[in-house]
Amino acid sequence: MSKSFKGKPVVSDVSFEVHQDETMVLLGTSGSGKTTTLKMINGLISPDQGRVFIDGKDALAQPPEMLRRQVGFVLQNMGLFPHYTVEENISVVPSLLKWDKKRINGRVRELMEKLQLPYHDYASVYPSHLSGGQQQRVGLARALAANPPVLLMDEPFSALDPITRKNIRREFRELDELRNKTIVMVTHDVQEAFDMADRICLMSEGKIIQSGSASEIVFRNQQGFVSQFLGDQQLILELKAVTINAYWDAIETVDQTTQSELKFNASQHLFDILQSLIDVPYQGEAFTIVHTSGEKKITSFSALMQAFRAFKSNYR
Amino acid sequence: MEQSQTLGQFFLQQGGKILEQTVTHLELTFISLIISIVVAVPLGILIARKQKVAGVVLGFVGVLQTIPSIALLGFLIPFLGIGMLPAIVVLFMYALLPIVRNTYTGITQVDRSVLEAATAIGMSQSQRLWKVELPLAFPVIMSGIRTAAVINVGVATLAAFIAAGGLGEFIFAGIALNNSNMILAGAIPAAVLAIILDHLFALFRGISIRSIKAVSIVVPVFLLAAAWINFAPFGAGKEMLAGFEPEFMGRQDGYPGLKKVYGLDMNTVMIHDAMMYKGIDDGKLDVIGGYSTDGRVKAYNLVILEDDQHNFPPYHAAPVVRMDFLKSHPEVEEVLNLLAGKITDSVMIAMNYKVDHLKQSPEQVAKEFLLQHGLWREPQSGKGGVFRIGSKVFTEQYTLASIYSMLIAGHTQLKPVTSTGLGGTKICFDALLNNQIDFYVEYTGTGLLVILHPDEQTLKRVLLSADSVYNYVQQEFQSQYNLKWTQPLGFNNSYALMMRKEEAESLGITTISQLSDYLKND
Repeated sequence: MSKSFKGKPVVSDVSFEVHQDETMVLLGTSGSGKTTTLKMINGLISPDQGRVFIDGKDALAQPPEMLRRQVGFVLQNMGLFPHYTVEENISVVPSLLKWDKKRINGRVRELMEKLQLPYHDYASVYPSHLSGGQQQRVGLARALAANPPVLLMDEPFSALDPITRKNIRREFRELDELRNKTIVMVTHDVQEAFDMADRICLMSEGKIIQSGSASEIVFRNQQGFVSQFLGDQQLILELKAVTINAYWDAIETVDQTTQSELKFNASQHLFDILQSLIDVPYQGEAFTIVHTSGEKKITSFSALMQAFRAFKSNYR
Repeated sequence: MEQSQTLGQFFLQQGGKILEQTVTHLELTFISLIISIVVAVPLGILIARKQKVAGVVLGFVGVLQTIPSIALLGFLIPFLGIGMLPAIVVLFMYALLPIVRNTYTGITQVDRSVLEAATAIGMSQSQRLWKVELPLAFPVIMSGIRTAAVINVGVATLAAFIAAGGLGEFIFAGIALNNSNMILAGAIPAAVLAIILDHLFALFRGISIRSIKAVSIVVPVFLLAAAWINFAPFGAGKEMLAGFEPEFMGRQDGYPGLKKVYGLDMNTVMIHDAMMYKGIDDGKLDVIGGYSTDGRVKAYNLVILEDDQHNFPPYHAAPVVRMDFLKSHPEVEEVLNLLAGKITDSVMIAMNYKVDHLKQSPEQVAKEFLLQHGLWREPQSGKGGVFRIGSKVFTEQYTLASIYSMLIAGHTQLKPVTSTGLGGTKICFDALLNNQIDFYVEYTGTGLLVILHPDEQTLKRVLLSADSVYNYVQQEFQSQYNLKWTQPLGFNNSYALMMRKEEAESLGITTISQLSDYLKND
């Protein structure tokens, strides 16, 4: 797809595919064209060129209202209707789709329970009486109400404070409703992108610079821009990108005489182990790592680092 | 003296009429308000969508509101005639601005992210309007309607000028007749109406947004029904319609006198003097009460019905001056008397005709008159002080004020200043009494009945002849108010009842008695 505003290209030849139930994150700085790209998917902005296919069908061929009722949308500023109660806000799309009242009510109750908004306490409350986190949950519930197969999220957490943001993010990640959705999310927050994404499209100046899984982005960035964009966070992202399982075979065992009591799971990231070692009086002695299969290895931190380094260079 | 009646007594006595006029007033207010809402709300929505035309539309309805309401009424007469229709049109125009502006503001103030959300989740444009924009703009729109309602209650008083009735009838008659009870009988209900409506609409505004739909359906239906029920009787059964200006309507020698002396009983409406002649010319009115020297009698081809049972007292015009001014400027009286007896009925009618019908300016006519009589002189220095000339709001008075202004400028060292547009006897007289003007031309009968209010017996005695009226008012004004009547000008601008010539001829009516008989036999 391509889009220009007043002759200035905002999105140029962006093309990507999102697989079923996959979460794709469009990551970029402001002005990178990521939000415009997102809004072209449900026709909020019509592309100058290009087409959108959902489930193999040309999405923009149908009336935009029809398309939008089948695609959930979570807005940056929540955009809850201030004159509607929580229940009415969540019911909007099912009502537009003319569901019967009972079905709507059942769906609202279900979603509110899942999102930790007890029905009896919150159903008839107006949005202005909710906290930011609660408002964002209502915004998500509204987007999910009609059970759309596709969900678009435009910087869904950016209006929240850092602590709430982190908690809501975790909550959303663990929500079963989101697991079987095809999601396209826009963010400028690198942590958030790596936290939520199955795949990331890194965008700049209206183009996709690189796309791929989290590890592909951190270990295989071909362009200077990606390192520059990731900046200080590159190291943490690398340490967090893969679990120890990924380079299990490369880990060398060490002499067992100076073994400590420490024991780690290979399903952890190197970052987690580093964090644990900082908290204990660790003096270079060997510790135990347990692979997901149950296999054990006695090793040291330096051996672990060596294996990671090898993995990294292999990856490239 | 009749002034001893208390306000309470007046309200009791006139209760029925006050109620009737209040109802008319409400009709005018609400019919126009509903039409305004129907037009202005969609217009406001439209300009909120098309920002480019917003400035033009808001500017236009804004300009409408800056036109003085009385001018707007006068302007519409040639197109819409008199009565309720032009009154409603004017009120409608006045109510437009607050409603259009508030609708526009209300709609454009809706949070953009809320609108984006509405679009993003699949609302169509009309769903967005009805489910999101209008509910959120409702309080702002409602306060615009509230403002419009209060403005309309106020402006609707002016409807009395064009025979549309309402509480303005009491107010203007009260002002014309120097009767505070009557003024209050119109002003108090109007003020109460304004306050009640203000609070009523404030209630609507505060109503929870959920009830909008109910309110937006119930209120117009209720108002339309109320308006319809009350609107129906208007214009029913009018055999012959008389239009009288406020003073004629209420003065003892006006319509009440005709009722007493001739047993005249007809449908009447109150109308402003300036609109009255247009009304009879258009056939909206059949009979009007006017002045015998009015140029428009000739211009509109009217006939004056003979006052065969002598209801109308003489109205000889003469200058009234402040005594203390004459003391400091004794030469003025002599100059004023230069015109004594010079302006006869026919001279005055001819001058009025020139101004009213031939559209010559009063100054031009005044100068011509003075030249003909050899009284014209170039203005002198004007350094001897100021001479403040007052005038009521009709042609004859404008012309006379111009004549005196030129006369004083040419014959004395004084500098004349004219205050035209002192709307009615009471206002002119008070201005004179309070030393805001030094002089104006008054009519003997008016001075007698409107200012002095003598008792029945004195009235009978005084009304015997034109001279006895003049002598009585001269004496009483001097002793009671320290005001001097100088010598009469020579014409008698009497009250008169008039009809269109062809109608009077076809019905064979030449006297008021015949008119009264015709109406009774009908």
